[in-house]
Amino acid sequence: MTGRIFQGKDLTASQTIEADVCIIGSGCGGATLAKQLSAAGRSVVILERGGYYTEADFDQDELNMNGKLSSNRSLKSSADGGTLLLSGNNVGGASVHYWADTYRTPDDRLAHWAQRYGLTGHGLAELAPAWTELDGVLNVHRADEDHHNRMNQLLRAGAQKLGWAGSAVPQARRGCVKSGHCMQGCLYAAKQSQLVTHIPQAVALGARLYADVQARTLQFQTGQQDKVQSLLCDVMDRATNRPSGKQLTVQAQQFVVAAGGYYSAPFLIANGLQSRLPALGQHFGMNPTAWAFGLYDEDIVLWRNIPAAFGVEEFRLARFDAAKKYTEGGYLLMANQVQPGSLAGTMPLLGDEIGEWMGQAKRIGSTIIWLDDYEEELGTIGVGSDGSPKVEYPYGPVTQAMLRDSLKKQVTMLFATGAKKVLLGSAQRILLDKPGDLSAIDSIAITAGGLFMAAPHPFGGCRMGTDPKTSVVGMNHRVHGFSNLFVADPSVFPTGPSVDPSFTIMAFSYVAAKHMLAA
Amino acid sequence: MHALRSPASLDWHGLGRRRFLRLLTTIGATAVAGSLVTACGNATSGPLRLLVLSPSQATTLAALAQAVVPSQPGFPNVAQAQVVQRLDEELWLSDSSIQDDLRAALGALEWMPLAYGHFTRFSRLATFEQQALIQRWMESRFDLVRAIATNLKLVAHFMYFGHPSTWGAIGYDGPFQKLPPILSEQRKAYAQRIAGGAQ
Repeated sequence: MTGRIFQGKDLTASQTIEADVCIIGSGCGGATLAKQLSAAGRSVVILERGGYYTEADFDQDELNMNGKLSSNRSLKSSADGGTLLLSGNNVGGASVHYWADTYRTPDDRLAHWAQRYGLTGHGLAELAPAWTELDGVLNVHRADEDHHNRMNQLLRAGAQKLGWAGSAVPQARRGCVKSGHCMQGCLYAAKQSQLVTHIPQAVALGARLYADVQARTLQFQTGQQDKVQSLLCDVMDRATNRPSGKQLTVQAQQFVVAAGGYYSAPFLIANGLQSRLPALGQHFGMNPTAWAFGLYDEDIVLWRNIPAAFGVEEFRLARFDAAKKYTEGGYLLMANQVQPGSLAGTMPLLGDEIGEWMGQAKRIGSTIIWLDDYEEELGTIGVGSDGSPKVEYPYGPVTQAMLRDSLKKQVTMLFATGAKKVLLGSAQRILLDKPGDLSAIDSIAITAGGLFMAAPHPFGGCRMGTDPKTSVVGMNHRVHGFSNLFVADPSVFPTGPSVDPSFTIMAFSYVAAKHMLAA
Repeated sequence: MHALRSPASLDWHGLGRRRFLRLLTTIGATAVAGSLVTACGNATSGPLRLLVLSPSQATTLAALAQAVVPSQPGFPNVAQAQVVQRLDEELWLSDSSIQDDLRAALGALEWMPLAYGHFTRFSRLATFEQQALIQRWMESRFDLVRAIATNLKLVAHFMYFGHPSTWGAIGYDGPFQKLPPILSEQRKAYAQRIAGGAQ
């Protein structure tokens, strides 16, 4: 039986639907789970708050596509105003605008999760078969030479020169034309997002997907607090991005929250679960980024070809001395890729000085780091006054040291690759014309706008564990104390995976599917 | 370990973030009462119909945007790049907390010069004074002041350099294969409301 994708405009009146499983969210977690459960014969309904945009809607314009694909137009920030919170708001979720980096969770991180946080059933033995299958589904392969743009070539040469370990980044692509518009959605359906993989596969297996539908209220069975009976949703008017007044009610045997790291914990908090689960909204991280720019004597053209073909992995894990004092590392260092609005927006230059740099935009190179959130300094996620996520992230002393170290390494890399000037992505204007004294970086404010930062990889808030006092879901992804409520997205991670999270999320959904089928 | 930074670190002279923004905005609204100007003044080509930003907020935004964008030949001004209109559109489609924060930030920015040795509001300063203040605020030791300046600068540049009128000056060849824009139903809805005068 073939399913269907419904949009808000298809729902002309309030209605009630039934399914075996209701999944909130259509990103890497929800779509993968939907495909797995549909393949096992379950009747699946997927709810997506955002719109259904396909290649026919992708014009590759930076602002237009930001509006179609990004939650809150990428204008939402952490509570201190310092970090932009990036997530998807469309069928396929953030995978439609992600960079397609497809790392398996490193062995050391899986071992750490098992040893420190007691995770079971999510080790290499359980995840590797999923990745083997997913390698085929997503055509995962290392970036070839043709897909290294000039910035990635420079990064690779710089890493070799500096003796920093790195390698070609695994990519989820099929027939990439090197447009450089990964973040604007791939018009060519080459990037293997959920929109072109698990979503159509699940629908072909009978799943029904409802776009423009915002999950709102879980209704619990009368007299009991341990079973969800139904879910009330608002049908959104996509044109105004506001509730239409129509409702969709979903009755199902199992409910899964897979709304992503920025929305799953707030959804459960808004439904009153925090009083029973004090860890809900805790242990939150978001993989903050920091970047630097270099001005070269040659054309770099940051905005074409794939974003991260080469990755410097030398500093993925933070290093500490014998006294357990932080020394360096704790991030992946990549080539940056941005279109002009984002490029200029994140430079601390004004007036004619930004004109001088942007007038040579083709010659601007850039690096970016993805911070592996320090697990002793994680933040919280809650619900703001208007119902939207509220992120409090402390940027503690070790986190600040990691970010400063990452800036110094980026400056070193950019000069090593021939940059004539290097500009930091900090609010404080730090423009260097030669390598050497980097002490100015030590005085940069990190919090609240001190660095231009974005956070595209949230995790935590529904941490996995065995104790309901310190975790939210068990090893079977089921919310503690509830018989039919599950979470399947990065909210369950105990820490960040130290690499792009998409492949970890998908593999975890394979595990979640097995438990749900056995329940 | 979560509370590494006290909530007070978000304060400015002991005022909470929201209280501080409300206070500055209230002072500004009082001072400007009766003298509201048509949106955007000299930085735009004429009156703008907006859905989220007030005329005074639009004036402040236009002034800020014009101060942070290039003035060299070949670059458009903020009116030509439709910075104010586009941000208003993006805000109209965003959560109310984002609208509130951006409006409050503009209100605060307009009156912050009074605390920095100027006896007039931001939009009435000379461009070089505006630039000096923005740079100073971006490097402020006060979290809230820094956040206001950096975020407003960021969105102004994002809207400006995202507009096709700027691309020729920077050597950007536009979307791959030079596809024409495909307006979303949201962009069309905003345009219809602007054209029809609806709120």
